[in-house]
Amino acid sequence: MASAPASLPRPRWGHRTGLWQWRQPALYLFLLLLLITGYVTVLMQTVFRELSPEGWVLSWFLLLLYAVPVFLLVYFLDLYEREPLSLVFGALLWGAVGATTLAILANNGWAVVLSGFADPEFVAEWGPAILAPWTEEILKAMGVVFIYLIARREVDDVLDGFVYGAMAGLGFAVVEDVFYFMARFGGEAEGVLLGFYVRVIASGLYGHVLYSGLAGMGIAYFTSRRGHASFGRRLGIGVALFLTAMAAHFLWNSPLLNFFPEPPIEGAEFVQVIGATAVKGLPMLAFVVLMVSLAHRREHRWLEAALADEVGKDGLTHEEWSDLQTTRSRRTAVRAMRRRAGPHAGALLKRLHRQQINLAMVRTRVEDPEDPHLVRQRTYVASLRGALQAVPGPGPTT
Amino acid sequence: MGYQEQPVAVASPPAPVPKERKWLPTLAVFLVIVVVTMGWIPFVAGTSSAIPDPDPSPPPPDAPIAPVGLGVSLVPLPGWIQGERFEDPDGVRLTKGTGNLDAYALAWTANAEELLDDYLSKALEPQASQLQTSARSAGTVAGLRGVRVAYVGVFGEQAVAVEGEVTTVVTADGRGIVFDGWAPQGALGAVLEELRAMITGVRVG
Repeated sequence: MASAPASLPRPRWGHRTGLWQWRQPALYLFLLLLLITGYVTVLMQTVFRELSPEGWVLSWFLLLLYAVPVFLLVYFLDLYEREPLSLVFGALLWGAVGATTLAILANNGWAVVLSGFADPEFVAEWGPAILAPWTEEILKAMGVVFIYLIARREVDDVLDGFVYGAMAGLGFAVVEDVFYFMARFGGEAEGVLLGFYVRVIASGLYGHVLYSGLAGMGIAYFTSRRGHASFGRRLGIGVALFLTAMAAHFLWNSPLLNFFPEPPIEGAEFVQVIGATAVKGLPMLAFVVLMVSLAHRREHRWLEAALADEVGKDGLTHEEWSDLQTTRSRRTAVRAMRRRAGPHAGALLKRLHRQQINLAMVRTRVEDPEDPHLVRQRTYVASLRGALQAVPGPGPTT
Repeated sequence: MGYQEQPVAVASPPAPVPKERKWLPTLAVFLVIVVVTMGWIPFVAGTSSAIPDPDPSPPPPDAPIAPVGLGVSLVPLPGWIQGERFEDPDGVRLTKGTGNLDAYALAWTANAEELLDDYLSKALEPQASQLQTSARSAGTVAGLRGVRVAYVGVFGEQAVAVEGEVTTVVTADGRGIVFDGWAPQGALGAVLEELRAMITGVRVG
């Protein structure tokens, strides 16, 4: 096991909290804004539903098919310290309700200002690229800032920022897509299906989830690296990530590199749509995948740092440590155990892994390596190992 | 999966953290949101203040009028300027920012509902790649019976959808008037009241 670098900041995985922090004024502002914008959102959705009830239901049904897997993918990205669901749903709700409603107000208002300087054709063509990237990215990012202000200890890593940002982006994307399906694609079943193809099947990997995820990483970098990086560095990297998200949004909305076929889309042009979205979105997707990979690597180094003193003790054998390190190695070990000794043993091993991760969380929270809580967690893990070994035929625990 | 399960030991006191500022960052977030969502208002208000007559309503008797045709004219509210004129049928466009009011006057012997049907089928639908209309409502406009419908649509190569409200009235002497107030989607609400005020204030000579 590699020893952790001395400069590696200590994660605070052991501390968990939720959305309902009544001592935080940010919570009250967050709820107030959600209440106001929620009312407007309900009114808007009512109009859409009245315009085309079938199209509205179909829109939400299709978008849930997209949103649920993306939600799970983002949520499970954080390998070791899953974020509290109340906070995750808070970010999602902010994106869906708060950011969308406020963005409509902002985009329309600033469009009026822009129209004072430019002719209507320019505003129609470039307005979405000039206005939306900064208004929408700032408003979505406010969701991450709210989460940070409400539960500061939960945003302790750039990956946390990605999760909360991506959730805000996902909520925003879903409500915006309903808007587009109903307004731009006609609202009837055929139009909704076309909209789903263009905006979700061809573009679903790009867009708001990526932009806001990246902006969230910037915010989290700035807030979580305090004491480990200079203010200038934190601000510089945070702003750079935020600007990258805005630049990608600008490119997506602009007429630049636009290889979309002219409507109506027919035949092979459906394939062209996938190529057109890839040209604009793929570079950003690659960049975000790289950023998340780097964050994952860092998380793994933290796990190493947290468990450095534990390997060889009651809570973690050397063999178990090698299986614990990646999701894949854990799954492989669980599958092998299930084959060898049945589903009960597989479930026990899975539980053992979970409690060993929790051992790391407890370790990050206490200073003394013989802290009673740590000792108790070690003992608990050892009892799970004992229970596993008592199952007939499991062999070595891993 | 679910590694979010609580560790067994949870009662340990949290590590000391620096004193948190609670109110200042919350206020800063509020200000950012206000600036982004409403920062445009002073710019728009500045535009309006350049107009010589700041009194929005009612228009004075000698206010400039915008002739539509067939003796019909509109009285633009402050901030609204006369744009292009239309022919066949005669008409005029008033604009303010992203808001527009197109008005047409033509000879019409049928009722307001049929005039609305005619406008939707011959003017809006041919230009729209997508068009959704609401249920119709009847009422009185400038003492004349009128019919009104809201719509959302995509027209031509525009990157943004348009929402609007069409109102038709027919005079007793056989003149039909069509009012089409429209704006980019989401922006109509900001000018709707003024659009309706100008429609109500139509002058039929």
